[in-house]
Amino acid sequence: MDTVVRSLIIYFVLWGLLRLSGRRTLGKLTSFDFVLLLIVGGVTQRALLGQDYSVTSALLVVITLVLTDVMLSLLQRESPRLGRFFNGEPMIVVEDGRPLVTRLKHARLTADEVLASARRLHGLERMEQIKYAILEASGDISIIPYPAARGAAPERTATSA
Amino acid sequence: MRGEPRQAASVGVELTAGRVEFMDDLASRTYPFQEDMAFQQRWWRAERIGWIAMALVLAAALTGVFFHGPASHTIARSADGDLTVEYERFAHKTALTHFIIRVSPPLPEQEQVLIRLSPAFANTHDIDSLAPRPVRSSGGSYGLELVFARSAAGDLAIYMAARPKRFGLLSVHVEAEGRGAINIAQLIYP
Repeated sequence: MDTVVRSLIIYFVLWGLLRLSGRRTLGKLTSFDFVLLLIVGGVTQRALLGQDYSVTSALLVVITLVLTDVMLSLLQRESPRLGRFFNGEPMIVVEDGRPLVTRLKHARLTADEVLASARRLHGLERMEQIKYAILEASGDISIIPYPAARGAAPERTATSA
Repeated sequence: MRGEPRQAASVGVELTAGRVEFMDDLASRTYPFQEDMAFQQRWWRAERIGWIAMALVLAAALTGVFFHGPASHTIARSADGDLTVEYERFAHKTALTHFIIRVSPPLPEQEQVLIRLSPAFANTHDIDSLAPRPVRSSGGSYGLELVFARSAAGDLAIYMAARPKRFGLLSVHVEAEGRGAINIAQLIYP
């Protein structure tokens, strides 16, 4: 019983802490993030098993975690609100070639990261070629470029007749 | 170009046909998907609160409230000061915690001191090491009874390392027969 309770507590606490660290931790994986995930894995492994290294204990942990995972995904299918809470939702960060600065700041994202993604996915060169850049729930940045025929976004002005 | 109402916080320009209007950064867009920026902003606030909570937990840990450190280490004395127990107020389950039990001089030559630890102690802790070794030891309904010989200086100091096997609040009655008794309390984190 001990093992099951411990597994559940650690599962949810870990999920909470990773969500608090922001999506980019999972999507980006800088060397800092990588080391963080390695260490977290190692530390929780000890806490999950306690001093019980039996096969029984290991199986109980695995079964608890797998079942929790399945139940959560079923719950999310039933309730989109719950899905949003658990996974987050996508957010537009660049619109019509213009980065939305407040959003980038809150998401702790830089324009450089958006451009890197644009280069990687579509071979784009400038911010003005990006129609939409979207920070997905998974932490990836997806890019919707302007169709090549139309070229870059219109010149930036406050209003245009 | 986008016929969507904007947030009150943005530029105060009315939207009319043919005019390009930049929406406030934090307004919810509808294309390519429906956003809910209100939810997003609540989430960001929750994130900040979470970070502050984590920082507070770490600050508390540094003061020793979770284990070790100045807030944890303490010395309990009996009424007349003959018996003292040096121990840690906070411990972790499965992690070693140390006790030093001292009986002050003068102890007459040849006298052996009986130290009694109430049953709660043995129920909660596995004794990892004990120095010096007792001359005699027994356990019963009163708990652990350990008999030690005094040192050459005429006093007694017992160094004990123990490992808690369960978490919770531990209350132990430590008695040196004929010399005094103390109650000590320890909070063991899971």
